[in-house]
Amino acid sequence: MSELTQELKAKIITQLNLEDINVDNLEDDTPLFGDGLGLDSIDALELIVMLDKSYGIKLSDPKEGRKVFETIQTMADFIEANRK
Amino acid sequence: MDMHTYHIQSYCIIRERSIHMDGVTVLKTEALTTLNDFLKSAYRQLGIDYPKFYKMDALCKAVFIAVELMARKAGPIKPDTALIFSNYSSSHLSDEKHAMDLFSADNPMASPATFVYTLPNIAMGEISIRHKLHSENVFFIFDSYLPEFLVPYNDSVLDNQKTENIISGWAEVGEQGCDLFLYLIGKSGKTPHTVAYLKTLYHNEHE
Repeated sequence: MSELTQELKAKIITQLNLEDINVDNLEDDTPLFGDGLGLDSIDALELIVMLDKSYGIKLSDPKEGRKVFETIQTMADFIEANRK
Repeated sequence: MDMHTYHIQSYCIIRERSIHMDGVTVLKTEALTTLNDFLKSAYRQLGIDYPKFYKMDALCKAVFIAVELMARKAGPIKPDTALIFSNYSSSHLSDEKHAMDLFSADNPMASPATFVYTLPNIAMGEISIRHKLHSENVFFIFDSYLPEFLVPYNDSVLDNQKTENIISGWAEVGEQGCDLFLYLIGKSGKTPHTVAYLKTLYHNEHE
């Protein structure tokens, strides 16, 4: 699992152009939105695309995204449970 | 006696790998670097703090830096300052990137982060968010910088008292590189807002 969280951190930093953040200072339980990483709605769309493109997972219910994208850990848990 | 009503209060030029403010070189590099990397390096060297900058496309980055420097020089940008920009390539670089994503052979899928920049006026949106502007804006597409159009247009906006200040000019970022010339117009100042003066300012750094 920690391999997956590390991979997710790297992908998120690259994909979302978070140039002032690196893998080492991004904790598994840092909130991705709000006071944590401060991601916005476009970033949320980008994360949905990333799930589809990298892990073959389609989020059919947008409300589901709120829980899935809470932290790196919740994303990793969701990917583990749903990846094809 | 200066009979002109409006003046250029501050101006910024970004060309090749250099940035000039009011005729003074602020930053210049001889390093072989991409425009995007140059703009990111400028952002860091100028000590700007706005993490969303990294997400912007090159057009937005260039415009953002220019207006940021103007705000440092001329003071905070007033909320009703109109933005009247122009260029040749519109948002071509982002349009092309978006098309490449869509038509990619192995995994065609649009990137929302690219798609949001497929309009040139997004650059004005970024400026408006940063400087909390609630103002008029328009982005014209011309073959080349056209002060013959912009000067009477801007004068008319100011004459009609829609605002007391305008940031206007040319913000070309395309395959040929960056050619940006933006200026702040207002009532006070030493340089008259005329076609002749603007041509001189534009070409001085251009040659």
